[in-house]
Amino acid sequence: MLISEDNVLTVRDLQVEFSTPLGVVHALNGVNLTVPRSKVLGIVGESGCGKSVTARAILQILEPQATITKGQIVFHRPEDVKEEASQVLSEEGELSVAAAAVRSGDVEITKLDPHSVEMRAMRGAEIAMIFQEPMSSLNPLFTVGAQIEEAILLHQTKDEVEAHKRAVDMLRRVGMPNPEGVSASYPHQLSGGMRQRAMIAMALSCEPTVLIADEPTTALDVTTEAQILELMRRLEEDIGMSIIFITHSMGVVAQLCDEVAVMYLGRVVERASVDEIFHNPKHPYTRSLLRSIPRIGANRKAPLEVIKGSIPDPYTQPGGCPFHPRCPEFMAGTCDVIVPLETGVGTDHSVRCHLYPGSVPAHAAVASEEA
Amino acid sequence: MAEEKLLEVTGLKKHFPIRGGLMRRQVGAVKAVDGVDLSVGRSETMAVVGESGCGKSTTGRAIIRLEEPTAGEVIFHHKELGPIDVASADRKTLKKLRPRMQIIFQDPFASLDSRMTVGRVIAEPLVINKVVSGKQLRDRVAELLTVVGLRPEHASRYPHAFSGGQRQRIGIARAIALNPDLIICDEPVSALDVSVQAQVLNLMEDLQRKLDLTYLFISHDLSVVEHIADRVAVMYVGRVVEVGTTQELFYSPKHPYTEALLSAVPQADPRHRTRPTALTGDVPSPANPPSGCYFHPRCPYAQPICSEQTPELRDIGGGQQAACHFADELSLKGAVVSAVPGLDTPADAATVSESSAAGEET
Repeated sequence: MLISEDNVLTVRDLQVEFSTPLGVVHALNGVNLTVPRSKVLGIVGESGCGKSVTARAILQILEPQATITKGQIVFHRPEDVKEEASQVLSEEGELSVAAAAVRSGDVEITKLDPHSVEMRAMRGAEIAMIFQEPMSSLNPLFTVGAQIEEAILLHQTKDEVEAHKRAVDMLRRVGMPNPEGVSASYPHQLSGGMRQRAMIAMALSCEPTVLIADEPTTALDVTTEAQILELMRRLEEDIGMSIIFITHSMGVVAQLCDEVAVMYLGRVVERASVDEIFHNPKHPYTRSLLRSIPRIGANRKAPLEVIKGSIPDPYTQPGGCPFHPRCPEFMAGTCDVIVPLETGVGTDHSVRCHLYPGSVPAHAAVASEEA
Repeated sequence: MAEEKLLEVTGLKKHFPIRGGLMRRQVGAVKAVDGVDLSVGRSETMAVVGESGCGKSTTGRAIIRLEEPTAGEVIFHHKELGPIDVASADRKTLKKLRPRMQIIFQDPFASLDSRMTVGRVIAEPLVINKVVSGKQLRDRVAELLTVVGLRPEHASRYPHAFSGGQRQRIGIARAIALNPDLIICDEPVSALDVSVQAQVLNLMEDLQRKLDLTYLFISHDLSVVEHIADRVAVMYVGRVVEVGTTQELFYSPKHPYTEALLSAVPQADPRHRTRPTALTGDVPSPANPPSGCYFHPRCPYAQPICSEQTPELRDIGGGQQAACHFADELSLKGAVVSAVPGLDTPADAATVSESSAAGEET
C-alpha cells in the first residue's frame, strides 16, 4: 500500500451514488487513493469510470442527485500553511471556535457540509480545480482579470489594487504573452489554449496545496497540449504543489505523472509509480489498455489489440470483478462472483485482481472451500 | 503509392465571407481552404493532419461538395464515366457521383437521426438511389450490420440504445451501403474511448481490404494516422505544407511545422519524456494570415525571406513535397519510436491472440 508516505490527500473506500429516474447508478464503488505531496498523480480510465466524480467528491461539488454513501476523504494540511490559513480565517471572523479546531492538522472533507464556511474556505485556496471546457467554465460577462481577482479577493487579500497586481503576475507566470492586455480581455477574445492558461492562472492564484486538473488538455490541439503539460511540469517544480491529473490519454500520463491510478467502473483497479504502470503492468485491464493504443513506430498496419466488448451501461453492473466480461484472463467461478480486494504486488504497487494472491476476502474464501 | 489515381484536387479554395456594416456587405473572408493540392490513389489511405482550424474538415467536405468550393478543381476518376470535375459538376452528374463518395463523421451522437431506426438509417442511401427494395433491402441492411460487427436484429432499434463505438459502426455501415470508392473519414475515432477506438480502426482497415476502399482520413491524432495511413498531408492555415508517405513524413520531415507537430505527440512511455519543440503563440486566424510563409511567426528556423515570399509546395524528391524555402537545407527531427518492453514478453503473446479475435458485444 502507498499510505505510509508523505501524502496530502487520502481517499478511503469512497462510494458515491446517483439517483436517477431510471434507478440508482453506483458511480464509485470503493475508491482508494493517496495523493503524494508535491507530486503528480494521474487518474486514467475511460468514460464512465468515475474519474471526474472522484474529483468532484474531493471538492464536495457533486451534482445534487449524487450522495457520498460511504468512505472518507482526508486532507492532510501541511504544517507551515496551518498558521497562515487560520490567520486569514480569523480575520473573516465568521468561523466558530470548533471550526478553527478542525482546521489544524487533518481535515475530514467527507464530514464537512458542502455549503459550510470551512468547505468554502478550502475550495480554491487549498484545493483548486481546472475543468475540461475552458469556455464553459469561464464567465463570458467578466474579463479574465476580474475573474482571477475574484478568487484572490475571496481568499488572500482585501486590497483590490494588490489583487489586480497578483492576477497579472499570475497570468505572466503561466506564460501568457501581454498579461496586462489579457487580463482586460473577455474569454471569447482568447484562443482555447489561452483560456486554459487563464483557468490555470485562476486555479493557482491562491497557491493551492492540491490542484485537480480534470482533462485540462482534452479539448486542445497536440501542440497546445504540449505547451500546457510543459507549464504544469514547471509549476509543479516551482510551487511544489500536488496535482491530480485526470485524463484518458496514456501518452499524457506517461509524460507528466509520477504515480498513476487506473480506474474502471467506479474502482481503482491498479495503482503504482508511472514506470511500474507502463513497464510492469499487472491488471489485465491496464495491460489491454496499453496494448490497444496506436503507437508511433510499432505495428504499423497490423491490427491493433482490442479489448472485447464495451463498457457496460451504468444501470447494470456485472457482479464480481467489474472487468470480468471483457477480461482475457477470466476465471469462471471466481472473477464473476467475488469482488477482488486491493492487494500489494511489489513495493508501492497494488492491484485489484484475482490473478494475484490476497484478492479474495477471508469470509468468501471460506465459503468457496465449503462449496 | 498506388499507380492509379482516384482523386486529384488542384487549387481547391473555400472562403467564407465576413459581412459587416449597415448593408451587410462583404468586408473580408475567412480563407478556410486556400489553394489545396492533393492527389489520392485508388485503394490507399491518405491522411490529412493539422491543428483545429487549419481547414482539414472543410477540405474533406468541399471535395464531396458538402461545401460549395470557391475555386479549384476536384477530379474524381469514376469507374464508368471517367474523370469528372466534382467542383463544377451539375446536379445530374452529382447524383451519379455521390454514391461513389461517402463520409463518416466525427460525432457518432450527432450524425445519426435519433428518430430513425438503425435499419432506416442504413437503408436510406439504398432507398434514395433506388438500388434495392422490399425483402432485398432488408437482407442488405442485415448483411451490412453483420459486416460492421453488429447483429441483424439491431435494425429495429433506435440510435440512443447504442454506445459511441456501436454508433460509429452504424455510421460506417451507412457509408459502405452503396459500395463507394472513396470514403471521407472526418475524425472517425476521436470521440471514442481508447479501448473502442482500436476496434473501430481495425474494422476500418478490414473493410478497406475487403471492399477495396479509398480513405481520406482526416485526423489530428498523429499516432492514429501513423498506424492507418499510407500517405499524409500536413495542413496549416488552409494550405498543404507537406505531403509524403507515412514513412518519409514521420521519420524525415521536411517542413518545420511537421517537426513541431511530431515533437508534440505525447509518447506513451515514461522513460522517454520529451521536451517538445516549443511552438510559441497560436495558429494565426485564416481571416488575417501573416505575410509570406504563414508559419514564419512561429518557426524556429525563420529567415527574413520567410516573411516576404510565400513558399510553393514543391518536390523534394521521392514523391515528398514541402512548402518551405529551406526544405533542402534543414535537417529536422522525426518521430520518436516508442515501445513498451514490458508488454512484448512471450508470456503475454498468448493472451494477445485471444483478445484480438473478439469483437464488440452488446
